[in-house]
Amino acid sequence: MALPLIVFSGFLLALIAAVIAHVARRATGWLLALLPLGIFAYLVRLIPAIADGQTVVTEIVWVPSLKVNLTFNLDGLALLMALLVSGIGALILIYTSGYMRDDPGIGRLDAYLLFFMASMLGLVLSDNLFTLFIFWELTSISSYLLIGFKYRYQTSRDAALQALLVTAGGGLAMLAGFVLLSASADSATISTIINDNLFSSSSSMYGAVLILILLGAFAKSAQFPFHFWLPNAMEAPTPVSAYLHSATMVKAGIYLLARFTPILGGTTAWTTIVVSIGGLTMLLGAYLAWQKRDLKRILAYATISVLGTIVLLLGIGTELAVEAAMVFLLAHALYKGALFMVAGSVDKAAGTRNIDGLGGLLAKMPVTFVAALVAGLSMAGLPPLLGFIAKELEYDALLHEAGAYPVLVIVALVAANALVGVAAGLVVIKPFFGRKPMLKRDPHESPLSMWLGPLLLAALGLLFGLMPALVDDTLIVPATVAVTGATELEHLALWHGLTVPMGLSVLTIGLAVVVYLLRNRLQVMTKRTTSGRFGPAHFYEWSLDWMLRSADKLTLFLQNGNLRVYLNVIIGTAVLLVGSVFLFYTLPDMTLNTDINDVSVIAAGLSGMIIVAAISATLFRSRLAAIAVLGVIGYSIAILFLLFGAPDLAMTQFSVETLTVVVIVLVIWKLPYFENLTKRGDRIKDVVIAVAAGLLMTLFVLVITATPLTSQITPDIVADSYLIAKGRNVVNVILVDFRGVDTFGEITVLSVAGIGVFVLSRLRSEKRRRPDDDG
Amino acid sequence: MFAAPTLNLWVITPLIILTVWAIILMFIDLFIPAGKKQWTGWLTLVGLIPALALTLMQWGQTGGAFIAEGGQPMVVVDNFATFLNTLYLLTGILAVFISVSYIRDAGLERGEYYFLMLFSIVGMMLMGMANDLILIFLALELLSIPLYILSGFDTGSDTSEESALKYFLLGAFSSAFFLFGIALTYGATGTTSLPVILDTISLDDPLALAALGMLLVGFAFKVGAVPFHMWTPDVYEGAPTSVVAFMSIGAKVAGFAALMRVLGQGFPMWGELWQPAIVVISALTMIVGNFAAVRQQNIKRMLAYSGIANAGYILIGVAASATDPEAISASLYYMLAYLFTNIGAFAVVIAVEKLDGQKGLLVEDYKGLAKRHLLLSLALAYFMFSLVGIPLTGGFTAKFYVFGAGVTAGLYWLVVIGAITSVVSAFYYLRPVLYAFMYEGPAVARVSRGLMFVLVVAVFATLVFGIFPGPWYELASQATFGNVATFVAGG
Amino acid sequence: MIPLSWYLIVSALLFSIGLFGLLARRNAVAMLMAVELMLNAVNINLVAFWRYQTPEAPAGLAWAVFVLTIAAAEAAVGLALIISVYRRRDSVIAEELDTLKF
Repeated sequence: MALPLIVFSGFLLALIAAVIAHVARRATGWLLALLPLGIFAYLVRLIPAIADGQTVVTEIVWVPSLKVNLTFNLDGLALLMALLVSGIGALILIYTSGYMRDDPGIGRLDAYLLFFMASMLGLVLSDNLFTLFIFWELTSISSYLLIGFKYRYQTSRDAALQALLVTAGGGLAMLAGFVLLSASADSATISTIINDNLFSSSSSMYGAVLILILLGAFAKSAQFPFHFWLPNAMEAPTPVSAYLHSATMVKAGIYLLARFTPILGGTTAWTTIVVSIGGLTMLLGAYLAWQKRDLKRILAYATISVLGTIVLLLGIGTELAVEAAMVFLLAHALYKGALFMVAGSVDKAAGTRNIDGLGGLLAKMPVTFVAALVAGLSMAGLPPLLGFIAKELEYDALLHEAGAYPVLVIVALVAANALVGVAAGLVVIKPFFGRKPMLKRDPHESPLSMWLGPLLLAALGLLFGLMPALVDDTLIVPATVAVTGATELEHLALWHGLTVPMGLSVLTIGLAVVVYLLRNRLQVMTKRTTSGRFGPAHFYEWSLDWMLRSADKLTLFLQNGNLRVYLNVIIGTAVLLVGSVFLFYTLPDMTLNTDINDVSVIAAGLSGMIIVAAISATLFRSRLAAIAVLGVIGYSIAILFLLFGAPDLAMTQFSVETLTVVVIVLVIWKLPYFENLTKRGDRIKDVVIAVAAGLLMTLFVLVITATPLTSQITPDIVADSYLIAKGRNVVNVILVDFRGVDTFGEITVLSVAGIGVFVLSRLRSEKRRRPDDDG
Repeated sequence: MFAAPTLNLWVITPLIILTVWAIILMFIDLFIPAGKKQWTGWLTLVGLIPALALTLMQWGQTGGAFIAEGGQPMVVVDNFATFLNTLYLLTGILAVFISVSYIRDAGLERGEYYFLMLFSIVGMMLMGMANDLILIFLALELLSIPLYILSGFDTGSDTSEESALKYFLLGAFSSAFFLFGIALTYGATGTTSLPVILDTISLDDPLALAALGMLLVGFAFKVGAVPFHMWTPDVYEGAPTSVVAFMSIGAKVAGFAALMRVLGQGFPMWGELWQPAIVVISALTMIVGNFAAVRQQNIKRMLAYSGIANAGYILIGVAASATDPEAISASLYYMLAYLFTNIGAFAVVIAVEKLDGQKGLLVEDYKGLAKRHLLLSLALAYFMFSLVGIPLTGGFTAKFYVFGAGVTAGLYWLVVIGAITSVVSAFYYLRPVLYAFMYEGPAVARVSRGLMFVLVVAVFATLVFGIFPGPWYELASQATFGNVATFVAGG
Repeated sequence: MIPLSWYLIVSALLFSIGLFGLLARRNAVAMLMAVELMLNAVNINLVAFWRYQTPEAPAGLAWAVFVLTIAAAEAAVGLALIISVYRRRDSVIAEELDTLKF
C-alpha cells in the first residue's frame, strides 16, 4: 500500500498547504519538503530490490466496468522518474520559501506545487492506461495553475491557457489512443499488455494508436510543432520553471515514449516519426536558444533541444540509445533544474533576467556562481560531469548504427550540442563576469534556501560524473531494462580512451567555443530567420482567432432571433430528412383513383370549400374575416365527419370550433390589425418551402393508399363496446374505458391549459399593480 | 378476441400520486396566504418524494397496463422507464429546492408554478412509459404546455414572454408536424400501438422510414438537437432561471426517453438505416453547440448551448446502440451524471443572479466571485470541470462511457469530433471560473438554504460519479432494452 | 364514395396552406391560426383513415377527439401568451420578437 500512499499523501498535503503556510511562515518550504524527502528516502531504500529486477505492484479495484483499476507499478523507469520528482520537488519547495519570502501567495504556490508533484508521481507509477491519463491531465491542470500563478497579468493568463490547450488537447488525443489500444488488446494494464504481448504492430489499429499516443507525448514534451508553449510558460515563477518545465513535467512525454517502446516501438513508422520529430525539435531548440536574451528563455529553448535529443534517442530505440537517453534525462534534470534556480536567484538579486543587463555578479554571489558554473559545464558537456558522459554515450549509440541516416543524425547532434553549449556559456558567463552594468538594486548573495538546491543538484552532476558507478547499476540500467528488456548493457565510464565519440566531443566543444566568440556576427545573419511569422505559434494564434470569428459568424447566421428563420430551418431540414427516404426506395405504383362517378356532391363541395377558405384565411388582412373563414373550415370539417358517419366526433368538433372562434374573437378585439404578409422575396421562399412540404405530404398519402393495409388486428370493438363497457356512444366508450389512460392524459392537459391561462392573466394584473413596474 | 382492458394500476401509481397531489395542492393553495407561498413549494415534495419511493420500488419490475386493441399495453414500466422516472423525480425535487427562494425573490411567487411543474413531470414520465403513439403525443403535450407557461412566468422581465411565445409557436408547430407523421403511420397500419406498428410495417415500406423521420423531428426538437435547437438559447435566456434548470434536464431527458424507446425497442432491426441520421445529427449538434457557446456573454445562453452540445454527446450512445443495444446504457449514465452537474451549475447561476432587472447573468459578472464566496466559486469550478469532462468528475466518466460506446460501435469519427469539441468547450466553460478566481471584481452572491442543499447534493453526486462510477453504470446497464421482456397480450 | 386519396390530398393541401400561413403571416395570432389549420388537416386524415380502412376499430376516432381538444388547449395557452406579449410590447408581430438572439 506504500505506492498509493506516496501518490495521495501529496494531494492531501496540498489541501492543507495554505494553512501550514499561514502558521509556519518562513519555515513553510522546509516543513513541506519533509514529505517529498520522505518519499525520496523510501524510494532510495527500494533501489537494490528494483535493481535486482523486482517490481513493486499495488492494485486497488476501482471501476471494473471502465477497466480502470488503481494499479501502481514501480519498475526501473518509474523509479528513476519518481526519484527525480520527489528529490527535486523537495529542493524546489525549499527554494520557493526563499524565492517567495514574505509573499502572501506562497501557500497557494506550495499547494499547487504539491498538487503537481502528487499528479506526476501518480503518472509515473500508474500501470493502468486510464489512471495514467487521469494523472496526465492533472499535471496539465497543475501546470495551468502554476503558469497562471501571477494571474493579474494578461501574459500569464494567455500563456497558461496556451499550455493547457496544447498539453491537455494532446492528452485527449492520447486518451483516444488508449481507448483504441485497450479495446484492441482487451486489457488496460500496461504491464499486462507488454508481458503478454497483447498488442502487436501488425494490428490494424497500430497506425492510429501510434499517431494518437505520439501526439499526446509530443504535445507534453514540447516537440515540434507543439514546442511554442514551453517558452511562453516561462511566465510562471522561476521555481515552477525549474521544476515542471525543465526537470519533470516536460519529461512526461518522454516517459510515455519510453513506457510504450515495448508496445509500439521497433517499427519503421515509429523510428521514422520519432527520430525525425525529435531531430527537428533538437535543431530548432538549439538554433533559437543562443539567440535569446532572457535567461529563462535561453534555458527554455535549450530544454526543447534536449527533449528533442532524448526523443530522437528513444526513436532509435537500441539498448545503447535508450541507455543514453536515460543518462541524458538524469543529467539534464540535474543541471537544468540547478540553472533555472540560479536564473531565479539572479533575477531576484539583480532585478532583471536580460543577459545584456547583467554582469559582474561573481563577487556578489559566489556560491550561486559555483552552482551555475558546475551545472553549466554539465550542460555544455564537459568532463568530468554527467552531461559529458551522456553526450559520449549518445555518440556511441549512433556510431553503432549502420546505414546512412546515423551520419546525418550525428552531424545534427554535434551541431545541436554545440549550440546548447553556447547557450550554457551565455547563462554562466554573462551574468557573473564582465562589466557591472547599472542595476536597479544592489545584488547580494541569496539565502541558504536559495542556493542549497542549485548547489546540491550541480554537485550531484559532478559526483555522478566522477563516479558513474553510483547511478549505473542502480538507476540507469534498471530503467533501460524496463524499456528495452535488455540484459547486457555497457557500463558508464568517464574515460573510454581515444575513441571516435571522444573526437566528436572535442569537435562539439570546439564548435561551441567558435560560435560563442562569433555569436554577435552570426546573429546578424540569423536574425531574419527567427521572426517567427509563419511558425506554429502563429498558427496557434491564427486558429484561436479563426475559431472565435467563425463561432461569431455561425451563431449570428443560425441564431438571429427571428422566429421565421427558425421555422424555415426546421421545415427545410425535416423535408430533406424525410424526403431523402424516397431516394432509397422505389415508389409503389401510384395511379390516382379517378373513379369518381359515385361522387358525393356534398363531400366534394365541402373539400373545395375547405381549401378555398384555408387559402383566404392565410391571405386576408381583416382580422374578423380571417377568423370567420377559420370557423368555416372548422364547421366544414365537422360536416365532413358527419358524412363519414361519426356524429359524436362531429359534435365535438362543432363545439370546440365554436369555442375556439369565440375565444380568438375576444382576444383579437384588443389586438391590432393583421399586418401585411412578409416581403415579396421572403414570400416566394415561403411558398417554395410550403409547396415542397406539401408535395412530400401528398407523396406520402399516395404511397399509403397505394400500399394495401397490412393491419393484423382489427377487433370488433363496436360490437364489444356494449357487451363489455356497457355504452352505446362508441366515442365515449373509447374515451372512458378502452382509452382510459389517454383520457387521463388529455384531461390533465386541459386542466393544465386552464391553469396556464389563469396564471398568465393573473400574473399580469398583479404586476400592473406594482408601482415600479413599467409593464 | 378483444379483451376488456386490464387495469394494472400499480404501473402508473407514481403518476397517479403526482396528479392527484397536484390537484389536492391546488385546493390547499387557496388557503395559503399570498406571502407564504413557499409552503406550496415545500408541500410539492409531499407528492414528489412518495412518487420517487414508489418508482424506486418498481425497479426490476416489468409490466404493462391498459391493454389497447391489438393486445399491447399502452403504458409499460420496465427498468428503462424506472431509471428515467427516477431522473425526472430527482430533477423535480432539486428544482423545488432551487425554486422556492428564487421565485419569491423574483416576485413570481404563485402556487401554480408548482402544480404546473408536477404536471410537467407527469408528462415526462409518460414519455418514457408510453407504448402507444397517441399516448406519446399526449405526454409530449402534457410536458410541453406547462413549460410554455412556466417560461412566460416572469412577466416582469422583458424577455420572459418573448421566450415563452417563441417556445410555444415552435413547439406547437413541431407537434403538428409530429402528429401528421404519426397520422400517416396510423393510415398505413391501422393501429397506434407501437409494437403492433412495428410488427406490421415492413422494411421495404418507404412510409415506415418516413414516419420514423417525422418522429425523429419531433424528438430532436424536444432534446434540442441541431438543427432543431434554435428555440433553446432564446428560451433559456428569457425564461426564469429556476424553470430553465428544471426543463434543461427534464424536457431533454424526456425527449431522449421517447427517442430511445422508439429507436431501441421499436426499430432496432433498422439500426443500419437510422444510425447514419443519428450520427449526422449528433456530429452537427456537438459542433454547433460548442462553437456557438464560445462567444456567449450571457451565462444562461452559454449553458443553453452547452445543453445542446451535451445532447450531441448523449446521441453518440444512441447512435452506437444501433449495433449494440447495450450502448444505450452509456447515454443513460450520461444523463444521470449530467442531471447533477447541470442543476448544480444552474444553482450557482441563480446564486449570482440579481433579481432586480436580470443583472448578474453575464460571464463578466463573475469577476472576483472567489474573493467573497470561495466555496461557491469552487463549486462553480467543479461543475464547469465536470461539463468539460476533466477527470475525477461525473462529466468525465460520462463522456468516457459514451466515447467508449462510440469506439466499440466503430464510430471513430464521431468520437474524434466529440473529443475535439470537448477541447473547444474548455474554452467557454472555464471563462466564468477564470473570472471568478483570477480577476478583481464586485461579484456577490446570495445562497439560500435551498440552494445550499442543491449545491451540496450536486457536488457530492458529481464527485461520486467521478470517483465510483461503477455501481451507477451497472444500474444504467440494467436499464437497457436487452433486459426487457416483450409485452404480449394477457387474457 | 369518393376514393380515400382525394380526402388525403385535401388534408395534405390544408396542411401545406397552414404551413405557408405560419411562414408568411407576421401576426402571431395568425400564425397560431395557421397551426390550427395544420391540426385540422391531421384530423381529416385520421378520420378518413378510420372510415376507409378500419371502421370497426375506432382508434382513429378517439385520436381525432384528443387532437381536437389538445388543439383547443394549445390555442388557449397560445392566446394567453400572445396577450401577455402584446400588453408589454404593444406588438404581436413575430419579427419584432427578436431581443433574444445570438
